[in-house]
Amino acid sequence: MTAHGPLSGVTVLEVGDGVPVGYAGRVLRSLGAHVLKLEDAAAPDWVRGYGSPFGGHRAAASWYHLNGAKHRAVLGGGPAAALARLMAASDLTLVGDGTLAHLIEPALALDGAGLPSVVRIVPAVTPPTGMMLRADESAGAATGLRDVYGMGRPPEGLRFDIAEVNAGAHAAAVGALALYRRTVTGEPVRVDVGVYEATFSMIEIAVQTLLLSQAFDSSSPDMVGSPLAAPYYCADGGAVVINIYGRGVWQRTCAAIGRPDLEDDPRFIETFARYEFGQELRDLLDAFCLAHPRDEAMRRLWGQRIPSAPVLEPAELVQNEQVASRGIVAGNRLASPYVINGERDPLEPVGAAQACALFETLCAGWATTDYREDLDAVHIAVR
Amino acid sequence: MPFTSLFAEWLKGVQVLDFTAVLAGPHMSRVLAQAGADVVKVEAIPVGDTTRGLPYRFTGGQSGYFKQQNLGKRGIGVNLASEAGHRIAMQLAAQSQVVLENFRPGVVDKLGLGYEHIRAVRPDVVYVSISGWGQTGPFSRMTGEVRSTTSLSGLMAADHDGEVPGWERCSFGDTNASIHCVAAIAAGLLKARNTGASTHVDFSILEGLMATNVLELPEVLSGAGAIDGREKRTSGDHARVASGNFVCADGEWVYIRAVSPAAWRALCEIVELKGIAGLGFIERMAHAGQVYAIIEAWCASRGSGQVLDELGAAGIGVAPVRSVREAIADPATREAGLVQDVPDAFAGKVPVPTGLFASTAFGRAPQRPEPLHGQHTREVLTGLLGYSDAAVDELVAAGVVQEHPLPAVAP
Repeated sequence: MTAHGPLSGVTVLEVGDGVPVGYAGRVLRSLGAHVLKLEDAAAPDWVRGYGSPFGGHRAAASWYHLNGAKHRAVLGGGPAAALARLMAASDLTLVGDGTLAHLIEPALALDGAGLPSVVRIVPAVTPPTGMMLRADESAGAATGLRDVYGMGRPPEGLRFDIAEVNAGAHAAAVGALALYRRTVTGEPVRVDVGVYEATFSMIEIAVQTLLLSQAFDSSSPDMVGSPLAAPYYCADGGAVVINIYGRGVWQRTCAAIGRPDLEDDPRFIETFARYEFGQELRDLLDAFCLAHPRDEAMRRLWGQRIPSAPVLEPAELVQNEQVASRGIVAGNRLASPYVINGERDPLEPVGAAQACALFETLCAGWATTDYREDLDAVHIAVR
Repeated sequence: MPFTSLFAEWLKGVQVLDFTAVLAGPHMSRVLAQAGADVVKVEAIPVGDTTRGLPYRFTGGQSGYFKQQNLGKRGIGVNLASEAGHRIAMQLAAQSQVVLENFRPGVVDKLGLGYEHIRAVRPDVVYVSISGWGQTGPFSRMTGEVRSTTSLSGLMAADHDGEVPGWERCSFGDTNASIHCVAAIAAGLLKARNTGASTHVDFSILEGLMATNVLELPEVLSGAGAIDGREKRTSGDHARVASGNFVCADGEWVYIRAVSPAAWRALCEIVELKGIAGLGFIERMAHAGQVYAIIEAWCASRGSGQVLDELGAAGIGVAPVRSVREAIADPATREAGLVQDVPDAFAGKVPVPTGLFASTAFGRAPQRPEPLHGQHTREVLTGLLGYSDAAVDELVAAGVVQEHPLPAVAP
């Protein structure tokens, strides 16, 4: 529980499985909401098995990343009525995939459900022609996402579940807006967030670039952004990314790479020219980087305030001085990505005693509760 | 479950003062405008948001990039470094529930427009600062744009061949920060309404990316190391056995995602992966080579339509790997409201991808155009702040504010 998040005092019920809904709940938890994570006792969230077990627990580090700071429960028996009661006790319900998610509609039809606001994550609200999508990464493939991440053959290099977390972040934003909307108008909000639509939204710059290149009859769809902001390899095998834009950055780059003679070179001084002479510019930057180890190249670039950074492995990242100074790494887990009024919620794990106390109160009179150590969650058994 | 109210009314009555430029900030404030907030975008004079000048410019000089990210906002041009310009900004801030900025850390304080300055005139303000690295720390004063922060975030780490992925062209780090901050703004508005207290959100693109890395970073932090046991992992997809891109007999590519136990078992049965259907996620890694070879052979022996039908019917995540061009050409894209014709001051109407919040599920409201530079200066100063036209004339003459300087061009 947090005392300082702007959603302090708000209760969010998270129903269902998968990365998208888990991430949506994590975002709202990061903003101070009290999040109740509810799984089917007979078929718990598959993300529990998504990777190595987390520090002495049975479930994966990923699952704890998403759900460790939530009050966790598994539901057995009479789930529609139980869901209705828990929804009525919450300000907002987030719905993901899985068996419990299918019981949301029946639960909403029950008298005890009240008029909850519900944000549901679905594969697509308006599916692409002829497709039968699921609410996971595959829905993103249909948007052109993988085209955006490489040229030619679809790349294999995506390092994370980008479409899934992006859909979760969008669902969290919708959920927070729905909470505000309800406070202002008193009306509950029900809305579906499509993974497909959210991914299409995410890549909209690439879509716009293509539409514009078609409208302007151009053969250079990369004319928006900086195609030169690509990785350059260094003498020690490391890599850096350098992003040159504007006249000032170019002139400082010349100083950084030891080529002051090129400061006013018409091939590079203006952004437009740089597109035309892109290969020459790449050759220059390649030569500079290949002549220096990564850290030395970065020292020279940052000495001239060039937008650039080393390409890091996750293990290097957690040791990085900026990361360390900001406190986003809290021991063996990540804290909230938000710093609110100067404070960051550490997203302390919710322990068994806390979770039991809460669910015992919520379920008083209609269910019994006990702690399931194997699932690290409260078991709710409907009477 | 249909939408219950038009998204374009969710933030009706909310006043937003927007000092942001380029992408992470404007994408965020565009969502607020789509939700019905009155967003006043403040741009420096004589040159405003630098993305106005990006390639692919329409007749009036507006780039398509700027258009897309600034739909539905009002725009004013102000010299914030002048005393009178600063006064205008503070007067607007006093009337705004939300104030947004994405300058390099320290700049707003120099301008006298930092959180504490604004809170003095608007005690319940929701003030959002987006930056590359965060407002504090040794990197904070460095330019922190999306490419640098993504490089550092671990998401571009090399694959097992030591190759670093090429740059992506959608600036996910920026829009990811935008969407996270939309959630924070709504939360802050709720808090302001309930308690009257202010909220300052310090959000960095880097930390937003770290939060979204749901598999690798938690593994590293938990001490498990890289999940395939090597310092340098295979690429992201191969680590997620089984998911990835596969080519079919007709030359078309499909993306398959079968990582949940149910999907994995179904896939094993269909493609006849024998003896490993019961393996957990980590144990599958040891069989990655065999798994991918069998899936590749299975896909290569049938057309993409058959692959999609068979796997889809079994509840496995599968979709054609479409190009952006193919996705645009699909009539469902317009039906979903993902690309809409938006009014343009000079070109009539132009197609623009307008995002999730303008899509069918959210009521698909007509999108208003982006502002010309200083287009609404007079309207905002007279309408919101009560200046007379004569006073505005004086401010224009003194170079404190700018009205739309773009030449009128016949459509």
